Amino acid sequence: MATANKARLLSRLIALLSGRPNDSTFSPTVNGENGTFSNDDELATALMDGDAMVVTLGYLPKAGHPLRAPFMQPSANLVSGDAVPKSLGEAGKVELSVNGNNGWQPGKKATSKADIINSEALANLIEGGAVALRGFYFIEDGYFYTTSPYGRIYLPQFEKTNALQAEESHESIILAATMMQLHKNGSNAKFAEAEQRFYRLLPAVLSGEMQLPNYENA
Amino acid sequence: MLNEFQAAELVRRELNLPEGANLRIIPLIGRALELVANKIANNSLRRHLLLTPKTVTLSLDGDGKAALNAIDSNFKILSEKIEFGVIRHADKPFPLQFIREQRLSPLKRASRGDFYYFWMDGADLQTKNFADENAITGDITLQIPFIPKLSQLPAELEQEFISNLCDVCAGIAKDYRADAKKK
Repeated sequence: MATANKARLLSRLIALLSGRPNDSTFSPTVNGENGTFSNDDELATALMDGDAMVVTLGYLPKAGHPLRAPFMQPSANLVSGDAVPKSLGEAGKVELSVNGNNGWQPGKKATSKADIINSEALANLIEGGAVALRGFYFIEDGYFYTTSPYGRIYLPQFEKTNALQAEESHESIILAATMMQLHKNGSNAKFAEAEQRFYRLLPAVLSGEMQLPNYENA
Repeated sequence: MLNEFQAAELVRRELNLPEGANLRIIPLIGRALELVANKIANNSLRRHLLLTPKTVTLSLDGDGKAALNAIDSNFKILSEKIEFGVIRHADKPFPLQFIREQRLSPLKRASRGDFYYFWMDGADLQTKNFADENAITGDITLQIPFIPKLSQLPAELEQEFISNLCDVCAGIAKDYRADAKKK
């Protein structure tokens, strides 16, 4: 499993825009029907934006997506009652700790918020006291509750770098997303078509499909 | 020796409950321990598993009375089953005899002169020497039924305890199944 290759995708993008499938070099005179792109930096920027769209809309929103793990980052330490920090998708795993520095253990999800916030009242009924009730958490309405002193939540985050971060086998949707970003100073048809291709391919990516049809067949 | 989490996890798996159910099971451990203590106290062959050790002693006051709550911090006495225990005083070779009524008939007193007697007076243990009607003084040793903490539960009773805890948690299991059906 490899991330998409930037140089290869730029070549494919140029070929798509120029209307010549085998064209791998930028020509200042692109087929007027698709517009003129006089600066290949614009294409590279659009490619990075398209890549970001695929990752943020396709991989990150739902827990359990097979390509989400590399983008999961732990939040800062939280205590019971803290708001869950902003993120690009559903919360992932939760870890709990006694001191907030080390000894992080996977949290166990409680059945309800009431079980968490009322547990302190029951501590004196238990031989082990409040310590015996540690290790549980619940998230409700954007707030985090726990029976442990500290918790942290793994949340999907995305930051653009110089390299593409979407999957190599998802080139077709990356291209579609890139085409959507490009300024259209010619006919809109090619770019409108790209937008349709993007949204046709997106459900497959969301469901975790690794192999997508070629851009032309999408 | 089981801890709270182990006990709850065994019950959770037995009743096929979700992970968060442990937080509801743990506070019910005390109730299950009390059930076990009562069952064992009623069983003459297994009663010895949950009796206070011979080293537990209490001092009798001038009226021959001792407060059982003096040993509460270590052993929660099952006072309603105290008749099944063994209480001794150094003066007599035989254990004190439990009586329900506070006064023995003259015939019984004459025939039981070798024994000291005891009964419960509220939360206190009251002793008496009916031979001379005098209060008994000094220390008594008690091997009497108690409700164990989880850390005091003998290994021989762990399975029975888990079984009782499953029974206590039957209501929780029913709620979870009802919730699951709604979804």
